[in-house]
Amino acid sequence: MKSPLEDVKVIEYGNLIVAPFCSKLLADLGAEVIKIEEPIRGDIARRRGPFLNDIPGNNRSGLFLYLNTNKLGITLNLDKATGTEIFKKLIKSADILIEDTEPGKMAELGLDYSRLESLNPSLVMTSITPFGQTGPYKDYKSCDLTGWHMSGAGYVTPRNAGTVEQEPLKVVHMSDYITGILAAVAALGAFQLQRHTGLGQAVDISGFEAMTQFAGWANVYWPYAHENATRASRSWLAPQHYLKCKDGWIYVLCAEEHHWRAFVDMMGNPEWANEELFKDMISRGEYWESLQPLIEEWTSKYTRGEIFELSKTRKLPLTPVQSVKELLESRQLKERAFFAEIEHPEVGKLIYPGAPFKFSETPCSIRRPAPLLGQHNIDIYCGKLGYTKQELIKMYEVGII
Amino acid sequence: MLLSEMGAEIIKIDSPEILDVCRRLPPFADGKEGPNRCGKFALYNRGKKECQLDLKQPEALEIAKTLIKKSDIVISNFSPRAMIRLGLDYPTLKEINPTLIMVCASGYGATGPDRDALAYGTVLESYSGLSLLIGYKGGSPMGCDIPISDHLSACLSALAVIGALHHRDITGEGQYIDISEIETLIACIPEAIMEFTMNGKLYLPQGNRDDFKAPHGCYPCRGEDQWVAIAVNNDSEWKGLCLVMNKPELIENVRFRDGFLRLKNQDELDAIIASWTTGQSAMDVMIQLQKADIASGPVYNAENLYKDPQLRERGFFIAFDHPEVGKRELPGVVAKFSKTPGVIKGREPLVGEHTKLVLDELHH
Repeated sequence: MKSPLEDVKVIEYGNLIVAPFCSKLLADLGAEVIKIEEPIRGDIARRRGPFLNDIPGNNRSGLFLYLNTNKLGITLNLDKATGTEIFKKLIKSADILIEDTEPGKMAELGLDYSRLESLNPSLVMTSITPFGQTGPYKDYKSCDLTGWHMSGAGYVTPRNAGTVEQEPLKVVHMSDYITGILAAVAALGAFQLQRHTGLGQAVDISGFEAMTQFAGWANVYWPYAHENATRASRSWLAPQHYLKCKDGWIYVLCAEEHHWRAFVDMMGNPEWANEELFKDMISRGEYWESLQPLIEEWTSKYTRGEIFELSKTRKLPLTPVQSVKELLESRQLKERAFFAEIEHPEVGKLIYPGAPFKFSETPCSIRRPAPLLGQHNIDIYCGKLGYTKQELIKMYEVGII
Repeated sequence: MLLSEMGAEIIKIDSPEILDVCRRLPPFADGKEGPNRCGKFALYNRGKKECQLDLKQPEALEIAKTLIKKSDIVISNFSPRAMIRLGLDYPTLKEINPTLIMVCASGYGATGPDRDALAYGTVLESYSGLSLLIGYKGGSPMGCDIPISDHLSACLSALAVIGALHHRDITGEGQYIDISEIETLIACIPEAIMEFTMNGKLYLPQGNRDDFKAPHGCYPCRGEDQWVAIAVNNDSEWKGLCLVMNKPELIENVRFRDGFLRLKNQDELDAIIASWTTGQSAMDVMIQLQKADIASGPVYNAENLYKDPQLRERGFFIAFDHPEVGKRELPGVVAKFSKTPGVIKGREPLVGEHTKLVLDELHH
């Protein structure tokens, strides 16, 4: 077997980031993922930027293209009776279903777990929703902004703001990715059990719970110290700060005294480092306003790259603050061949982040680009399910595919 | 932790000289320091057994190798050079246990010119581009207090391990998995990556705002540091918001009546909404807006979460009893499995709690 999940069959019925990222991870690990999209319109992410050359189009969304590599794409309208019948046929030979419909929707369609289980007892049905299938908020709406902020993560962002006057911040769309990853772990865990016991099951993932656990780093302050971690604290140890240098910033985290000693050595042991004011991490934190300009007088003479190299031999936790441009130029990422160039039938060759794991025996790779809308309708409906092309045309014309 | 919740037996090997860093970080139970009083350690290590071994001692190393011989998986987040130095690199371990699955998560990965750079969680967000994506409009680099890349690589390590287990079930083959924390972070910011690779543009932070949804942000509520997050997706939700705010005249206001206009006039819009939220509790705002099917929620702190009705109803928090710090509540298993609920085997271990047990078991 060339990839870890080569013999695994996944059906994805979802939109945007959470469910598609969950199944992308399984696809990256080698699973066959059939992505079901709504006819004509497709996944909502197709209409989200960034767009190639700033020109919108169904196959030009960088977000969609990235999230749906390695997948086969079909269109299907589950609001039509024939649509649900086709769905059931697909489910019969699937190992895992990833879906993100609102609680109750699948039951409405006659596709709840008990019905699917009778068709395929080994199915792992993974349902991802903002708040879970049960509870007073189950019908509440959410998105990455509210997912992030309701979890406790927003309350502590940005780190060391020093004040609560400005509002707490989100971090890009991170909460959607975090939920998607946890859903993949749960789905695969349940699948692994199924392979050993034949026992399929339903898995209920709540984005709220996934994110609350993620923010546990901050949230444990309540049960342990009866207080709340907050972004209001300034960094009371120093230096654990961004520092200006010749071509931008570096970030240094002196967690232990020997890190500071290494930093001082790196700066050529300046006289001021011996001052009483800067004798330990706490007093350096207290007098940071005096210390920072002294350090930056040195750092501003050097580039980020130069300081990073100097820090490596001294085992100093320091890193350049990089932009995305520098990531693409990074020797580290180039040598690890992390970015992948993939050719797409409509938009041509583009560079994507690659799979975030390297297996020694079963290397993961991006094997195919994101599908065009309905690209594999014929392969799946005719090739796998035995419909004729004529039947497909009729289904298309009445809005089933 | 994730694997433990799904039933795996985890033996954590810790050095007697340098305790796991989470045993040295706050919050400490009731503010009193101590290696068995740490909330973060409790969260990540519940259900595990802990065996203390000083791996620099040849006998201890042999014990570790014997343990590894009997195990399915080795998980490490030491740097690759540390594992080689300890004599616990994959080629060595493969000799002992040919079907072993080993996953090593390190800051930069096992290979590459930066592989030996010292990496602590929050440092990596700067390398990965994240610090320049978080921030208020026009501001300097910022970070998140939670070590995001540590968490992402932990979850992806668990995922990769299960994948490798499946492969081994079929082929009998073990393997080594190399996870780079910066890569796991980059995998979660494709919007910014693709904007650059496709269009050569740098995505700039814009606070809580969105590329095309408006209103979209955090608004001040009654009380100290109280905010509510609100995101309006379309015109129908806009109408709902106006009605809830009791400002029906805004629905067709020429500055806000469609998504394009709302985006353009966001500053004014945010001020209007803030003047409405400011006198109310975040919870009340959420309840009213959710009735109108609008995504909204309080910016919760830890205390709020522990009292949240949804999490309580779902039984999300579990109480652990601990000999030194008493009962503490922590998040439970994240996923709800219908047939095999997942199990947290118990509280986190005390320092070296299972050393004797593990060694005794080895001798049988």
